[in-house]
Amino acid sequence: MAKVTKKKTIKKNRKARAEAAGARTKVKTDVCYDEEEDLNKNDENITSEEDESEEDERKRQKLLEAISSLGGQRRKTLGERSEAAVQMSEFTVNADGEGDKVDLSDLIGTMEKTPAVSNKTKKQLEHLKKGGVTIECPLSKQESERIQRDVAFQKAATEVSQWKGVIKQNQRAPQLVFPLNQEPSGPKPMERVVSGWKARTPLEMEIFALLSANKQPVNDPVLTPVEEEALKAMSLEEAQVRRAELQKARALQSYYEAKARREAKIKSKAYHKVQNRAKRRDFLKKFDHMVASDPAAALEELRKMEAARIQERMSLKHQNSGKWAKSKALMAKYDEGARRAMQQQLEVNKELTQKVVTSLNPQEDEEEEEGSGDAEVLPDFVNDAERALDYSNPWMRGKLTEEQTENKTGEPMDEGGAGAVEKTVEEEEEEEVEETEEEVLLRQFDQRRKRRQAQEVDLLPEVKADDEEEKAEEEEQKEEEELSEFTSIFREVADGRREAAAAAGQMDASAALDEGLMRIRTLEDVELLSQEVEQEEEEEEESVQAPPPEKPPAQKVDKKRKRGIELKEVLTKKTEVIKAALAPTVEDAEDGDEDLDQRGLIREAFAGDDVIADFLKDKRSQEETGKPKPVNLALPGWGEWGGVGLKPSNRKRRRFAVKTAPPPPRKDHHLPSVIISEKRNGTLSACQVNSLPFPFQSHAQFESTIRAPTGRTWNTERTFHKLIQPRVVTQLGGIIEPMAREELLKDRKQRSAASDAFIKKY
Amino acid sequence: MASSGEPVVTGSHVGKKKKSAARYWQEQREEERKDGNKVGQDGDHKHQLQGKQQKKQKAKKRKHEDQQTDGKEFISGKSDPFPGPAPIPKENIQKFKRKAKVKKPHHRHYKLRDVIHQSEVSSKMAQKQAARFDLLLPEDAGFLEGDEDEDTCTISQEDIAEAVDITSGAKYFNLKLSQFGPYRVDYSKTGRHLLLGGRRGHIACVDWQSKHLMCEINVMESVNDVKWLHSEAMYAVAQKKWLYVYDSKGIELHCIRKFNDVLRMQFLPYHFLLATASATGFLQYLDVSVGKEVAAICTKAGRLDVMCQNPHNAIIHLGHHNGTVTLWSPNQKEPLVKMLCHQGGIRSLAVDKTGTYMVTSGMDKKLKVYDIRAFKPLKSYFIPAGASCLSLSQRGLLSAATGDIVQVYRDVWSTPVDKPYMAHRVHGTVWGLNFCPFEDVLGVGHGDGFTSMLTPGAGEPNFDGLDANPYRSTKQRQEWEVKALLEKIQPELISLNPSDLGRVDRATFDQRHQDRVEALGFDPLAKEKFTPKYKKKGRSSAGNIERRKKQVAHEDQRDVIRLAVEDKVRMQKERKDREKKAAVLSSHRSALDRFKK
Repeated sequence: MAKVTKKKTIKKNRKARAEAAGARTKVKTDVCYDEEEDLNKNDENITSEEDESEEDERKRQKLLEAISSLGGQRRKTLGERSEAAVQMSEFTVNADGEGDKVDLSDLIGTMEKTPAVSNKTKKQLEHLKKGGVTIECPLSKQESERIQRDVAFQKAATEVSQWKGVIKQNQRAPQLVFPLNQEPSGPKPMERVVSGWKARTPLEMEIFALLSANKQPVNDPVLTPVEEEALKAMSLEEAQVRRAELQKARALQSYYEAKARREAKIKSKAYHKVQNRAKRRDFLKKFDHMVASDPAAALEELRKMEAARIQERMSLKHQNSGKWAKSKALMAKYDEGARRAMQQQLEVNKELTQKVVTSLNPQEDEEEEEGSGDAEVLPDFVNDAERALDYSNPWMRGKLTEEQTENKTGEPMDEGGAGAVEKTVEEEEEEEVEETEEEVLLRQFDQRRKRRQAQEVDLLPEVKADDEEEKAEEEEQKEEEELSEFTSIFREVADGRREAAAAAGQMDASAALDEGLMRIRTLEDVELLSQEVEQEEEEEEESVQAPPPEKPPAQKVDKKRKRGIELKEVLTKKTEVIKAALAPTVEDAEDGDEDLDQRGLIREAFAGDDVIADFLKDKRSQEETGKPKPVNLALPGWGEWGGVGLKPSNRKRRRFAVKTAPPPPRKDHHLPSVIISEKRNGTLSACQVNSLPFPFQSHAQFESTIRAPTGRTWNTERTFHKLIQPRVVTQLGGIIEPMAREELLKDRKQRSAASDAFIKKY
Repeated sequence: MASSGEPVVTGSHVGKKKKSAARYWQEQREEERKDGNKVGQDGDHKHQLQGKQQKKQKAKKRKHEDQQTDGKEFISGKSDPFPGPAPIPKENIQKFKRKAKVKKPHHRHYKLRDVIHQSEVSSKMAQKQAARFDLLLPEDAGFLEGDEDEDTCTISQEDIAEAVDITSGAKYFNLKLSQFGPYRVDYSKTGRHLLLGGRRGHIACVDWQSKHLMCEINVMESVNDVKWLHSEAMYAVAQKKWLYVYDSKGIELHCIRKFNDVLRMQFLPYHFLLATASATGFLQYLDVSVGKEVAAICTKAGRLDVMCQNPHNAIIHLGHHNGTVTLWSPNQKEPLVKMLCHQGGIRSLAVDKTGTYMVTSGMDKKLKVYDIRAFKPLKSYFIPAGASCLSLSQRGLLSAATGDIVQVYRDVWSTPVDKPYMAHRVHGTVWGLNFCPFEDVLGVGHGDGFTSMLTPGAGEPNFDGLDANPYRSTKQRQEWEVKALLEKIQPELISLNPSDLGRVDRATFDQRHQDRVEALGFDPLAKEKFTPKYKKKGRSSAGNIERRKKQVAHEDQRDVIRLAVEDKVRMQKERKDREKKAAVLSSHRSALDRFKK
């Protein structure tokens, strides 16, 4: 590869030579490659020798030029015409000093000499000369833009940073209400509303002009002179009286309304029946009056009634032809209730379709009678043999016969043409008859009552006898009570003895109890016993005098003996005897059995036997389990003989024993007669806060913030609402616009006051 | 019931002199009260005298300010004579105080500062408002006062009933029910309804003020205890074998077979839990809102026939025959606290409303008062006959039954007592004893029926209408029931100190994990053990299985190793980076540094 490239270079050289020299003789054509380079050099030397004459001159000149240019300023060379060119000056005039600056001194050098120039200008010029400040050339576009941007940014930043305070305040505010700058809702004080308002718009102005022209009041109190006069016209008493009247009327109205409502609510049929009847009767009476006084109105009324009657007759409402009536008809044969219901309905029908007969239209009497006869047509089952007295059945009533007789008596009179007046009387009588039905009921009640009273009277002697018996019983009871009293007294005596024993020798009892306690201990317990007895004696003295101040039992703990609690430290509270107001007569035994009582006595006697010791044992074992177990890392067989029955030596065991930190003192450390469980409450911890939330730095801080409950149960209603108010409140549909510039101008204090307003209220 | 709370006795005992009714806290806080009175009255006086000037000044000032600020005046020309919010007495505010506040952090931590400030402000506001609303509790409690040299305990019930007004007098009555043996008594939470359970099976619900009998049944079995559930619509009866629930009409709703041989019951109203103690030594909790057994704890302490609850923290106290009292919550299988109270067995227990004091009586005929917060004995009394039943009223009266005598004591924990406040003899042994809430009435169930005693100063005169309203209608009751169910406290939250819930759990992750394992019954983070699948055609040979197991084990190990290596590499890289950074920061370049790689 290398050789090939060499060849190429050689060829190039050759070409160059040929071009430069033109005709050159080839000294050697057959050359080995090694020699050729040398040859090339030789060739070049030969060619330079040939051009020497021309080049030397130029070189010399250039050198001279270079030397001359070394000192002082570079002089622009004269234009040398070396090539053919169009823009060449004919006179070889060159703009000499083209690149040189023009100095001011060059220009005003002549000025000094000319006397025409004033001194002032000369001075000025000199001053200019001295300053010699030249204006710097303008910055590049990029640079200037950068500077502009920078300045603009700084300006914007200062503007924006003005908002910083407001924003921070809003961020920290407990509540924000949007849109901002709302008028506070709710009632405003009158003063502010009145004084703050002025007529501004042309409409308002006009209105005010009108008002003032007519002497209408504009400000408080807003009353026209007429109104004021009216106010004066009515005195206070009158007004009060009037008001009272109105009040009374209103109250009465409300009472009536309430009554009507109440009555309308009553569901009792019987009540309504009676009520309706009474109303009708009233109406008839009124009607009679009306006939006398105002016949025209009466006629109108009559027509109305007639219309109603016709309507009723036309309708099948109470004709026993409806679905319900049919079903009842089916049942009527067997069911008394159904039958009664049907008959009731028929009765209603009869009542409603009865023609109103008055003196005004006597000619319709016969028709009415016929109608009534029609109405009495009944289904045949009614005529079936039916038995018991049924008051609701008009055909089975006792009065029926009377009615008939009356009718009979009435008929001849009717026939005699006695007139309609008689008829009305009859009707009224009928009403009365119906009334009497009620009376019958009442009478029956009365009778029953009387009967009962009579019975009671009959019973009275028996009762008396009973009373006597009771008295006898009571006497017996008294006797029994006396007996029981005897027994109770006996018991009391016994109790009294016991109490005396207890009161006088209470120590003995306790000592006895303690004896039981002592049984399990030895030696030192003897001392303890004596101590306790002494203590008890002291107690007694103290209880007689004054209650001694309580001493914590932990103080008595002998510091040398850390082993645990002494028996004497447990249950050392001094007792005070309470005097019973009444001695119990009944021995309290939970089941009242004698055996149990016995057992209780025995238990009582041996009470406290080993209770304390058991408890202390329990406590010790609990403490033991709480302690961490000692760890020994000694391995048998290392460094010594191992095997069955061989244990590592004491030294080694001591050497490898790991000391564990003693557990924190138990909660019941100072309480001799209490065992408090050291177990963790895992279920509760699931509901507790596990880690400290963000801004808090210590547990105490966080715990203090959640110490007050928020719920309704612990707070008043208002507080509760204050505590749970939302962070942001927006008005529904209200447009939330960006904050205006005026926000900035507001006093900071004012804002803070607004945000903390609810705090200061309380 | 303030009306009978201050019996204006006109009879032989107190009526002769017209003295203002003495209050039983007078002794306690005599000086304090005097001072308070002074402050209250003199202070008021002064306040008025001084206040006028001050107020004038203030008013002036205010006006001035107004003029200054916006130049407006009241049109009426009057100024507010009582400017600013009404003052609140300091004791009132103190009453509603919650824990001390902490020091505010430095300004630097402005966020934290804000949070703390905000909470402080709101809690202060709540405290003030609560104190202000204390005004709405107008009723006062009174008590019985005898003549000079007269013991109040000698005043008989008849005399009291005669002296007080007719409605209060009607609250003393006897029900003669000698047939069905001694009675257990329970009042509903509102104090309106009374439940009687006779030993021989007789059960009666009575609206005791109107004497309206709601239902009466005989269960034809021995009855151990009766208890109202959350409302007067339901009650539980511990019968011979099982626990039954009846409604107020006497219809049997449930027979709960899981709860057998129940001897005593307690109902925790805010947790809807029925706690039962049985003869077999089991303490069981039944959630009556969902009918689920919440916990069954074997106490290993024999027959449990002494039981009471701490209304403050819903802890159940049990008394045992060996003189110990144990405290239980449904969350722990062992007693929270075990304290030795008596040398003999415990006969009865009672805890006061605030959860501060516990009163016990034992077979050793002693009556002891304990501070249950510190577990320390405060007082010890010797009652000659020994108290079989104890009950504490809302205002701290203690009633103790000795045989057929009911004794009522006052202030057993603060001052040493040497004689009872009241005493009353009933027929037969007392078996049940209960103070009626919001009434000055003590219900005594005994062998011969039931006696309703008047005990002036027993009940809380002011009731919380949203919690236990004695005058509520059916509709209100229904509404209350819904709300109470919504606000039901879960049994997991029962603990000795109720404020523990507001503390941050400082346990480590391991402890928490252990709790979780205990709660779930398994370890959720534990890795499943690999069991090779059974393959047919002899490919499940022992060797093959072993090989597969090993393969999996190796893979696991490789994973572990890979992770460890990655970790190591990462650590190294980090360390290098750190060093480089440190070097750059220190800018201590020596000339030879360039040769470092």
